[in-house]
Amino acid sequence: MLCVLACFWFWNAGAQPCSISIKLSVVETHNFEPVYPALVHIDPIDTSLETDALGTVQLGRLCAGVYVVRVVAAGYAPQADTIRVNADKTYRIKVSLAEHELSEVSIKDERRHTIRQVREQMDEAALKAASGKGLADMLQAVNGVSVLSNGATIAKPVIHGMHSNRIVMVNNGIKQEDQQWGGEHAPNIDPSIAGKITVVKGAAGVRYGTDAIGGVVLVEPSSLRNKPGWDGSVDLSAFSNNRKGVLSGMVQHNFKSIPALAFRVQGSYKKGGNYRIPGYWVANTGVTEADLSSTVAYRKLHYGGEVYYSHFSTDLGVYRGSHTGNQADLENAINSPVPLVESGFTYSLERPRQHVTHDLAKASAYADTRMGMWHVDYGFQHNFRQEYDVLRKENGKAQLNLTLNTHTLNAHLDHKPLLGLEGQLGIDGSYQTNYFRDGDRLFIPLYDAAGAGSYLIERYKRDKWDLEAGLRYDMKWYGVKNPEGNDQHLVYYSFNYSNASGTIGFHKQQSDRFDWQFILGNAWRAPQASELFSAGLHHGAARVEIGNKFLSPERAYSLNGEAKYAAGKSVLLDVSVYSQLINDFIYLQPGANLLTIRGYFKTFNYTQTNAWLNGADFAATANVTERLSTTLKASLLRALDRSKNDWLILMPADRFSGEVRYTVSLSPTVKDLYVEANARYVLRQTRIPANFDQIDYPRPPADYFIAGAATGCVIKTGKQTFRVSATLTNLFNVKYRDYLDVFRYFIDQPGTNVILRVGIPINQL
Amino acid sequence: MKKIALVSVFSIVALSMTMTSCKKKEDPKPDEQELITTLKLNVTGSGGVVRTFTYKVENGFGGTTSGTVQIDTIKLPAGQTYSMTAEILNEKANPVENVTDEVISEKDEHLLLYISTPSSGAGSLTFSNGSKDSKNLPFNQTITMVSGAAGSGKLQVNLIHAPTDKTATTTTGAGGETDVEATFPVLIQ
Repeated sequence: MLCVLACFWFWNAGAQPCSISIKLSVVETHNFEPVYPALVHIDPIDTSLETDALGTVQLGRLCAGVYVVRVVAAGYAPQADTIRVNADKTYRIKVSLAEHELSEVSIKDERRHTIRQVREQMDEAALKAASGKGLADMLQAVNGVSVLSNGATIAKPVIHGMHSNRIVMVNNGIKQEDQQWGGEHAPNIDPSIAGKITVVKGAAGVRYGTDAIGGVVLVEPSSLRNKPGWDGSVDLSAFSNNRKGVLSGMVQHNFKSIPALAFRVQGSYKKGGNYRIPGYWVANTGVTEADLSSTVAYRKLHYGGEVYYSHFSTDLGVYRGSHTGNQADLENAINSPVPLVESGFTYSLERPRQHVTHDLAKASAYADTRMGMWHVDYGFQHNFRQEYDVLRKENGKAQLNLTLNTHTLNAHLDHKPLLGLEGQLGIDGSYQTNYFRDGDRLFIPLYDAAGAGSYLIERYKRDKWDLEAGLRYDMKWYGVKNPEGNDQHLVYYSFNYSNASGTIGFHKQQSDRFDWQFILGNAWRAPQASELFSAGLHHGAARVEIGNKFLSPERAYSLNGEAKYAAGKSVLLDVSVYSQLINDFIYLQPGANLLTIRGYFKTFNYTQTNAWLNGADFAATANVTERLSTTLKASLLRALDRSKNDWLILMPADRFSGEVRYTVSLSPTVKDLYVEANARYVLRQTRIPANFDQIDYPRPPADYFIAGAATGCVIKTGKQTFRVSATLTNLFNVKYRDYLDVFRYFIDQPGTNVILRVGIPINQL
Repeated sequence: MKKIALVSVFSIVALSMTMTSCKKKEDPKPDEQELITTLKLNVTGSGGVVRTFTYKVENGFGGTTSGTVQIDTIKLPAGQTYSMTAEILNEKANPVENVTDEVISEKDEHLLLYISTPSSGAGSLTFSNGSKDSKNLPFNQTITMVSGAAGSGKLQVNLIHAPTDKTATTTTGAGGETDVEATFPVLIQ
């Protein structure tokens, strides 16, 4: 509401039709050098101009509207961009050298976009509009993505029913290694580093290696400043539900004397207290997070390099009532109509709580040669996780101190076109060490793991269609020291796995309005240490999970098809369907009861079956008028256990969402004012295994409908702009539970949340 | 510049390799925290009866096997009054760790519950006069027990950590987290 008022406040400036002056700056994609001479043609005003020595052209007396800019320059690939003009502004048009037609976007993006996949992106505007949220919550905006959570503080994305170690997260070009310890750990990534987040749906093993069974999440920072000088940004957000405040800031500089040299420092701080569900505070659910990242890059046209370091640190409480001693305690907590542990609001944390840090150091370099563009990326990740259990007697210590160190190396060549083929070949290597501290509770054994892979992806491109194929071979080795027997002596095991993967993709631009693609891909993953050796209790579920040393790797084959159709000028349809076979799918099967000093516990053994997942994502966007748009989305999934001819457990239910948005630019001072209403409807999951009642209790929660609203705008006063917005989630404070939330056993989902955001770009181009 | 970039990549590789290899020392040994393996009920009767009943699960808690299990039957003469003391041990530790003292020092945070089936009559045990914590709320580490008429039944003993209601007489009412749940067969002669 504040924002709407603020926006109208600034309305006075008034609109100025057909008096807008703009500047177009044509630069080379890689090094941002100005391009001249270049011919710039602007439609629909049908005007052609030549760039000056600074690569710029100026246009005056333009009306507000959409223009198409075409750039032709010798040695460069022709480029066409659409720009929306509504105020005096400079637009940058990037062109690529002709010999690198594959690299359409920028160096950073190039190799990640080589492979054809069904993908969906969240751009900078979408990310800023969701700033302060966790990564998984943000990704819920992507069709086909749902969230697996432990209450409101621990959440991870689920792509087409797959999560954890069945999807790969790539954080600034390096595969994130923080999912090796099990399902209930959120990815340790600060989403405010991202300039763009891409979700790749379907098996993508060829480019992203093992584990990319269900898909990939790519978190990419925006490229560094390329013009001399400083800029930065400050983003603030406040959340009413858990009284959380988030502050993020970024500063970057490009040196005038060394134009190729630039650096950036970015950081965020978040602090929230207990969150609120309708009627109650949830005990011990505060969270504090502090993140820092820095980048130094030296970029020339034909070579360059970058050094990056990021630190992520979080302390979070775990709802006290989810920590149960035995089966009876659990049933007691489930059957209680109110949260068993009462609480008021506080920021302070008690046991059970967690302290998690993730450090990433990365060095990368690229060089252009006669063969093509070479890239080398090396990353070192240090994960550290401490769990503070509920104790009889406080001793100030964590009962679990896990460390996971990972080295990764990728080297690849984007080769120059050869016999009409463009492509990439590369190698991947990794080395990983996992250990705990003396006297820790046993959770995961000590292990070392090494992996190596090589791949080749080639694309044949014609005017209206392209065909892509890729092949990969991977090897993985584990050396495990597992504590066994009454004296917990270490027993050594070693495992070797190797496999080939492949992909074929075809895309056709059928007409101006219709294009379609299909991708047949596959991926595999080795069983992870917790699946091989897990030997312990899950406090939240009061059950004992028992690993299986004889598991074989999972192999996935997925077929994804997508069609996009523009019906008339204003309706866009996007339909994607998928079918995925996962052979030797690893899951937990109930076993015999185990007697402990706390009574009998259910046990679950890791075992394998063949899974078959089929689903579809639909999206329809209609621009009813220039200002009013509406989007409807549906995501459906049928997950079968093919061996037992039964449903798989814990798969997301069908969901539908929609939004209506009214956008208007009131004046050069108040732009992009929007008012939005949205809603999500999630069905009850009724497709559950026949033996569900033996495994789990209670049955999946009921269907739910939640509504939200948002408003925001961009305010420009003088040279300074402000982005302000207000968002409401769970507008009607609805009581509901979600099947993929582990806390569904104990408590409802969070109630109404009012989120206020202010974004202040400083000195940005 | 190319060389500088390559050199820096490799020096970081080398550096982090040495950093991680320095950390390697003796392999750590895991340890189940605050383990309990055994509950002993020490019973003294008015007629000079002195008996100890043991409930022991060798691996206690946290593993995937139980180990050796010892569950004594509570055999007592009918219609008598006994004073009973609960003893909690970790027999995995060497020497055996007496957890009772720790529980007593944290008695405001602990509660022992004795639940007899049947609750009265033949085969039952009834309880009264349990010891109190510092706030004069039930703790029950020592308690008076009366045996019913001859018959059989069972006795469930729970040690509860951080109960939400210390006056409760059922585990459901007490809330909190179960540290021990031992069910003894009962035979009253």
